[in-house]
Amino acid sequence: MVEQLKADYGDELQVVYRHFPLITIHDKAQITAEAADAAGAQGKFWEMHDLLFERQGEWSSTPEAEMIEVLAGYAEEISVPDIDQFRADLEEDTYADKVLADYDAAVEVGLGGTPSFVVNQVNFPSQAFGLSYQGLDTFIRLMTLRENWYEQPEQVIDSDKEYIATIETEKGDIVIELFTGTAPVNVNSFAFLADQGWYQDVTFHRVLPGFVAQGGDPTGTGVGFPGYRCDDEVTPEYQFDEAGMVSLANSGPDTNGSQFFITFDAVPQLNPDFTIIGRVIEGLDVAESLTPRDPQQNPDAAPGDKIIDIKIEEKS
Amino acid sequence: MFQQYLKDRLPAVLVIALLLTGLTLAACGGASEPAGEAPATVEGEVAALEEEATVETEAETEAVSEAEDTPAAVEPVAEATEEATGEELPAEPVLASCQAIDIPDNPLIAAVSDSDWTKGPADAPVTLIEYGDFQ
Repeated sequence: MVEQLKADYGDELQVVYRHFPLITIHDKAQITAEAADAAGAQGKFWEMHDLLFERQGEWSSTPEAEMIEVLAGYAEEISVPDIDQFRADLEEDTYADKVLADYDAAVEVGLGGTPSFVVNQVNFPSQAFGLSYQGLDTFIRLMTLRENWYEQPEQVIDSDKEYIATIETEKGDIVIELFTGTAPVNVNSFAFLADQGWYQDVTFHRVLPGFVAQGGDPTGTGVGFPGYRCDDEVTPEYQFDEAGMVSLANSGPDTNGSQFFITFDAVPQLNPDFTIIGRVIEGLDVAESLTPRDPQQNPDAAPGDKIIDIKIEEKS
Repeated sequence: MFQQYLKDRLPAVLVIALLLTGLTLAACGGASEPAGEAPATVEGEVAALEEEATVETEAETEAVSEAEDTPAAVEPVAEATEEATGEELPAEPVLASCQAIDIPDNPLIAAVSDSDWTKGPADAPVTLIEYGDFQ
């Protein structure tokens, strides 16, 4: 899992390994951690790290009294230069205190078990995202996006004026009249993000024919948001009664962010839970031509069609 | 799998982790719309739960913010209640605002140092720390 992430992210990712040996329930957690450090002292930490995980089934049933012999054999296998020194480090507990200190530090961090991960100093909530490549990848993308978050959208529109948004996509332009009058806060947020270039190169990550095309998440996963959330602005004046309604995706009441969707049909089941910010007045055919993509059914699908940019203009 | 035995010494994070267990994509649409799960995001729940881990000063700031909003918000809410018996939604616009959501760093995590075992550039934009047990 981590190896695959390292391969995929390349120089964009630094991987750090810290010992969290569960010494109260694992009788060989301590000595194997010491062995990795002893190999590391001779420049072979990662080789020993990989081999210990690879051969876990082999050494986990080895009697404790024979462990040093087994580990010395591994050290030879990965060409640790000074095997006698390696063996002495284990026999003399050279790294025992360090490993115990690592354990205490891990407990202090508040980890729930192993493996536990931290991305850019934030604990990875594995139960929410899933302890998997996909879960970690999604969280890494979210933490990367965090660098671009805003605390609030600046006021960029005049709610007494009318505005047009043009979504430039790989498939053509989609022109939207924005409902400044009924959703001034959310239209302003959308316009602010557009002005900031937030939507540039962001995909329509969820396109379900007959339902909606959803985009606006730079992570391309559906978890991304701009660092703030806005309250709902729902009005009876606009309903999901036809194709081309433009609304903000949410995760419950008052959680509007950057993700938006365009309807492909009347979808009255979405009333009144979603804030409608506009309506397509040109290019609905472009929206309908977006490549279908369902991240829940097929999370490994090719990225969706890209938004080149979104431009906001005052209606003339 | 080893969370239970550490529960007592790690209450704060474990509580958050357990709360996060229930995190799912918000969904509606139902049987009449097979392809029709609502356009959902999950960030709200994640952020809300992370907020619980923030220090008291942030909670106090939010409380002050809510208090400031209250007078203006009371009237529309009351009107909405009166109209709730009908089919129509409240005609009066509800005053909306935007709130910052932060997922804070865990200050207890030591910065990466020379004593760490690392792979990849130190200045990489993403640092992934694994806390692991070989057994």
